[in-house]
Order: sequence, then C-alpha cells, then structure tokens
Amino acid sequence: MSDQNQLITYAFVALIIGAAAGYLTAGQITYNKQIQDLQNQLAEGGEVELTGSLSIAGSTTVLPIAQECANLFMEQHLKVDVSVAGGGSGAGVKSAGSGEVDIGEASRNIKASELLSYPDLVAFSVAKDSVAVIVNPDNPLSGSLDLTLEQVSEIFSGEITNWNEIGGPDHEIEVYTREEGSGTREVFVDYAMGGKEFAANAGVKPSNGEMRAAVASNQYAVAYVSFGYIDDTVSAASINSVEAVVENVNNGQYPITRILWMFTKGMPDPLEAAFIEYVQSLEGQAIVEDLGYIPIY
Amino acid sequence: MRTGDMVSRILFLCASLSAVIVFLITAFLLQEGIKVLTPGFLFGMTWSPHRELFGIFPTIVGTLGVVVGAVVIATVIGIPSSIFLSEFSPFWVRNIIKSSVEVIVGIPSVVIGFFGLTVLVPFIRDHVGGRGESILAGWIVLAFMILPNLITIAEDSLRAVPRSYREASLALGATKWQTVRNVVLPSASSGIRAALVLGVGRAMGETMAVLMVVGNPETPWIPTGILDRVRMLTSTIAIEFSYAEWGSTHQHALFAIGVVLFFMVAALNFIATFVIRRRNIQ
Amino acid sequence: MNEVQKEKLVRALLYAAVALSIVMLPIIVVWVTANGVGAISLEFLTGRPYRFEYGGIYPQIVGSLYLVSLCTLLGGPLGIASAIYLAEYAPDNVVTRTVRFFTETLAGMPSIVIGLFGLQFLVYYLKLKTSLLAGAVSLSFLMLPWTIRASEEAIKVVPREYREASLAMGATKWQTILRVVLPAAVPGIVTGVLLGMGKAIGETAVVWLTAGSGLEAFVPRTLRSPTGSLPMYIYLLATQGHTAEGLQNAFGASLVLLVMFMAMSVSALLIRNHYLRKLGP
Repeated sequence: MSDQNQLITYAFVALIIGAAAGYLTAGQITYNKQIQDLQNQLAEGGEVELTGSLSIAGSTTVLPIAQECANLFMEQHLKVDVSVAGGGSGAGVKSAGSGEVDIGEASRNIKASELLSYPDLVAFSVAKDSVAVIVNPDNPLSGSLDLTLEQVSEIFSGEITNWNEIGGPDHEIEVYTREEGSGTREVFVDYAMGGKEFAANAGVKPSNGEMRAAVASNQYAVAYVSFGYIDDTVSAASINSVEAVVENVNNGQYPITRILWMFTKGMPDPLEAAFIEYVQSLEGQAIVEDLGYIPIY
Repeated sequence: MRTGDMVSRILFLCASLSAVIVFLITAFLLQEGIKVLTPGFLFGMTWSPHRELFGIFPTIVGTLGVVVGAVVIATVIGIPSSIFLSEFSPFWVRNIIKSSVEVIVGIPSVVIGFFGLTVLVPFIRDHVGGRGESILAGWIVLAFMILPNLITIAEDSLRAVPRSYREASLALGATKWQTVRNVVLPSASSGIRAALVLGVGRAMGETMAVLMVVGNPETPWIPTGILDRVRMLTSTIAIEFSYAEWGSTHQHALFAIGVVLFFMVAALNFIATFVIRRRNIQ
Repeated sequence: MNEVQKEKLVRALLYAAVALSIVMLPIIVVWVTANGVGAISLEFLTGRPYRFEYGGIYPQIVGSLYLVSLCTLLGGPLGIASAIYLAEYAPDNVVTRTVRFFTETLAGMPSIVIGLFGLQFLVYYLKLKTSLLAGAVSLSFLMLPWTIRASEEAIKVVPREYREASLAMGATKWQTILRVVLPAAVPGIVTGVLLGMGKAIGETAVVWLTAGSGLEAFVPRTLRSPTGSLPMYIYLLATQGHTAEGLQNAFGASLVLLVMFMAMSVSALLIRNHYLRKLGP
C-alpha cells in the first residue's frame, strides 16, 4: 500500500518536473522560431552585431517611449536585452549616477545638487512634453473645464476644497499628486503651483499610470499627468483657455513645457549610444509622436 | 571521528550564517540610519523630504492604528477559530482547516493587495465613505493575512494543555464550553498572548498589500477616523527609496525608518518568545 | 439560558468564526480564476509583454521560476545544514542560543527591510546590479529561517530508536545522520522547502528593489541580467493598468501565480500528510 503511494508521489513529482521542462522548452522553441523568422527578414540588413544587456530606469513619463523603442530595438538587434523600469526622475538620476542602471530617464532637468553627487552624468534630449491637469470624464465639469494657473495652484494646495467653488457639483475635490522624486511633479510645481505646497491630504501616486488610474476610477478626483498619458479614460483641462494639446505647446501658448532626457554615467558605451541614437533617430521620433509626446525637432 | 569533527564544524558555520546575515543587516541599517535617529525624528510631526522635514510620528501612529485594529479583528475571528479547531472539531475537519490555513499564510500579498484595490477600496468608497483607501481597508486586508499565523500558534497552545485538565473538569460535571472557558483557556493564555504579539509583529512588516489600499497621503497626519488615509513605515520606504539621493538626509531617514521597523518587530518577537518561555517554565 | 443552550450557542459562534477565517481563501481563488481565466491563452503564456499592458507573460513566468529555483538552491542546502547542526550537534550553551535567537529574528524580519539590505549590500555595494542574482540571494535570506525551522522540526521528529539502532550497529554519528536520520526526515524537509518556495514565488517587496522592473520582454540570459517576475508584473498592471486588456492580463498573471503557488503548497502538504501517517501522530 505504501509502495503504491510512493509510486504515486514519485509519478506526481515527475509529472510536475516534466510539465515544467516541457513548458520551458516550448517557450524556448517558440522564441527561437520567432528569432529565426526575424533573422530571415533581416538577412539583407547588414547591421552591426550588438550584444549585451541594457537596463534603463527613471521617469514614468519617458517610460512608454523607452519601452516602445526598446521593443523595436530588440527586434533589430537580436542579441540585445533591454529592460525598462519606472521609479520616477529622481530614481532615474540616482540609479544612473550610481551605475546601477545603464541609462537613466528624467522628465525634468538635472538639478545642481544631483550634479554634485553625480558629476559625470551626460544628458541627451529625446523628446518634448508637457503636463496636463486631468479630471474624470463623468465629472460634470469635464470637457469644458478651463482653469487659470492661479486656480490650479489653489486646487492642488487645498485652498479650494469643493468642486462647487468652481462651478461643479457639491463634493470634495480629491487631489492626487506624484511622489517627490517625480520630474512631472517638479515641472508642475515650477510652472503651476506658484510657490504653494501641495495639500497635506493629497494622495500620493508614484507614477503617471497610477495618477491616471486614480482619476479614471474616481468621479471627483483631480491629478496631473504627462501629455503622453492622456487618453479617453480621462479628460484634460484647458489652462488660461488654452487647450492641452500638442500644437499649443509647440506654439508656446500652453504655459507648461519641458524636455525629456536620457542620460548615462560618463560618455555612453557603444550599446548605450546605439540605443539613444535610435530614440533620437527619425524612427524613434516617430514613436515619440505616435505615443502622444512631441518630437525634439 | 576526524570526519565527524570537521562535519560538525562545517555545519556550525552554516548555522551561524543566519546570525551573520542578521548582524550584517543590523549593522548596515544602523550605520546608515543612526545619524537621523533623534527625538525630533521619532516624535516630529511632519514628514516632508523636500522641505528637509523628517518627522515620523504620524507614520508610526498610522502604522500602529492599522496594525492594532487588524490584530483586534484577527483575534475576534481567530481565537474562537482556534478554540474550535482544538476542542470542538473531529480530526479530519481540523486537518483540512489547518491545511487550508497553512496555504493562506503564503498567498502572495500582491494578489491580496490587488483584491483590496479592485474590490475592497471601491466598496468602501461607495458604501462607507471617503476615498475608499483607508485605515478600514488596511484592517481588513491585514487581518486576513495574519489570521493563519494567529490561529496556528493559538491552536498549538490550546492543544498543549494537558488532557488531564480537561478530563478532570468534565468529571466534575462541567460542560465542554465551561471547561474550555474556565480551564483550558487560562492555561493556554500565555501562548495565546504570544500569538497576538507575534501577529502584531507580522502585520507591521507587511508591505505590498497595505501599500495598495491604505492611501499614502502627501503629508501624513495623525488619523482621526477609520476612513482616514495613512502612511505605513513599510510603504514609506518602498515608495521613497528609489529616488532618495545617495548620501542625502532623506536616504538616511529612510534607513532610520528601517531601523525603527526592525527594532519594533524584533522587540515584539522577543516579548512573545519571552512570554512563551515563561509558560513553559510554569 | 442554561448551560446546554449556552454550549450550543457557543458552538454556533465558533463555527461562524472558523468559516470567516477561511472564507477569504475561496473568495480570492474564485475571484482570480473567474476574472483571469479569460486571459489565459497560448499567446499569453508564451508571449512577451508589449507596450506595458499588452502581450504575454512568458519572461515573467520564467523569471519567477528562475528566481525561486536559484533561491532554493542557495537557501535550501544551507538551511538544512544549519538545521542538522542545531538538531544534532549543538550543545546547549550561549553560542547555540545566540544562533537560534538570530535565526528567529531573521524569520520575523519585514521583507522590505531584507529588500533594502539586498539593494544596499548586493546591488550597490557588491555591484551585482539589479539582477537575477541579487534577487535570488535576497530571497534566500528570506527563505533561510523557514527552511531551518521546518528541517529542524523534521529531524527532531525522527524517533530516537532509529539513531540508537544505527549507533548500536557501529555507525558514527555522521553516518547515522546521513544514512538514517536524514532519509527519514526527508518528507518533512521537502515539505518545509516547498512551503518556503511557495512563499518566495509570491514575494514582491524584495524583488521590487533587487531583481528588475517586472516588465522585461526577455528571459534573463545570465545571472547578472535583470529579470521579470510575476508579482512585479501583477503589481504594476494592477495599479497602473488603464485598459480592460491590461487589467485582464493582471488577473491572468495572478491566476498563473496562484496556480504555481498552490501547486507548491498543496504538494508540500500532501507529502507531509502522507508521511505523517507512516511515522505516527
């Protein structure tokens, strides 16, 4: 009886190991086939053989650009692995400056204090962007919301607390803000907060994605995100009667504007340089535009 | 015999590795955090790194508020459950439930947090009030997570009470419940208390699940209601560490939070072990 | 109300309490399964993440498996060796008690603190960078005390007669341990290791700080490459996902994670139950 049980146990374990091995093999075979197909397609290419891995981290604003470029870059250079993480601009500066990642991203300029800590950072501009105030589409004010910069600062600092103070429903304005290391937050503070502090009860969401999700799921929420994160789950407010669209940033009417950066510790090595060049290339900039940001030229 | 000596020595080295790791962790944490560990830090009321203000008192209060509430809920549900398992259930039932409980212990906290974020928070927002993210949400999520440990330890303590105690009480004519209430529970009380203390320690160390449901306000305040949002010691570290500048006071402050956390949990574990040991001596 | 009625009421309340304790398990399992099953497809399981929330989770699954296997390889034998020492060789002196105290302390340490240490020491100081290696080593710190505890229990439960019989036949202490005690303790040890693996695979805080972004589109090629993992993937998509597909992918990944976790935990318990019956209660 116990021998039978033992047999069952061993069979079970063998089954699990076999299943795991089979799964890993299947995945590897699928991957190899994909590579083979791609290699056949690129047979005419004549590209330089780049190998190695790239780790990128930092601003969640630059994140979609980096991820999309990384995917396409990896398809063109099959021996390269690119890993893209978020964490915010502050994290980008810190991890690139300390050598933990290869390329850092930031949606604000590098601060003087950061240059003191990491004097050998080399920065490359990869896109232009702006910041929009977003509300939920079900908010009665959405679609026609026009704020002055003064009002923006009053809402986010907690001086205006109820939507009915600006013509909306009678409900508390639920404010969200980014974490302190965020470049988006820095830019927003510089341009829109007028020296005021954020309301103490503002909820901190540590990424553009979470800011958007907070507004998309909450009828009375207000937050700010990069232009690249505006989609149909949220509605962007006009500021000073200027709509939050790319043209208005380009013609200077929209009051907030910023440059998105990628940087390396010291001069970039061939792999890093190749990637950054790719992002700055016509192909990369087409991606930038496609994702909702502004090309650098 | 020489092999035996060598073996014994190698094994000792392995065993001391845990000690080395803990020592390293403590040393690293202390080294980085000690400069900031002042009364101003521990009792300061404002946490605002960009203004160079590092007071964690509201964060500590917030953490304790969530943790203690969760332990209370877990106790109310868990102690009766452990009584049931130890005294009132047949062997096979106890086996199944104990096994389920052991599985619950390990459920990935991110999945629980996912559930909290997607189901619990909207529910609280729509039916109770506030933004949904709240101390209340933290209570429910944490209570669920510490229940299994609580039940296991409490049940062990109850079962450790000698059978003769029960039999004597029943022989005197008491009902089963009277026996449990007047004889078994008091004997197991120190073990149960240890379980509670350990539960608090476990709850304090939880990061992901609470991070997703408890709100993280910009500048935490001392909570006044269960719908308030708070910061936890663990989530403060998790969110802010990636961008705290190397060598900055901010980074040291985060390490100091790690030190506080570590020592609070270690102290709780120590108390629990001490309490249990006292029972064994008796 | 007389005593008998009181007893019945109490029993009812106790039943209710037990039901409440374990009710969350089926709720979560059903919730994840119901929402996640729609995401499961061959493309999902063998494809790679794309534009944040689309695509598949193959690198995440493999990443998690690598992390857990490596962590077990590091922490398992070490933990078992420590347990052997503590159970069989350790004299009852201050040194032993200190070692035990530290093991218990490590067991209670919050995972974020271990992640912090892993980040500071392994990633920055030892320059391992955010990688599979850093993640696995940090996870093994987490796993070590549990392995030690479970293995020590398993070894202690082996009946004394086994050891005495072996020694009586002339075997040395080490031979006894190796050939008699350990084989008898294997089921308990395996149970402990499997349970530890189940916990490690769901661990997020540690992996967040040491192993990689979570959304990698590739399988780690070396120990120094960053690696994706299911818990990070779930966390990122659950908090930032903004499309129905993204959310469903988060559910799908949760389902896969739960299945892997349950497989490890349930087999651990089955093994233990099976062999417990052999050794007696």
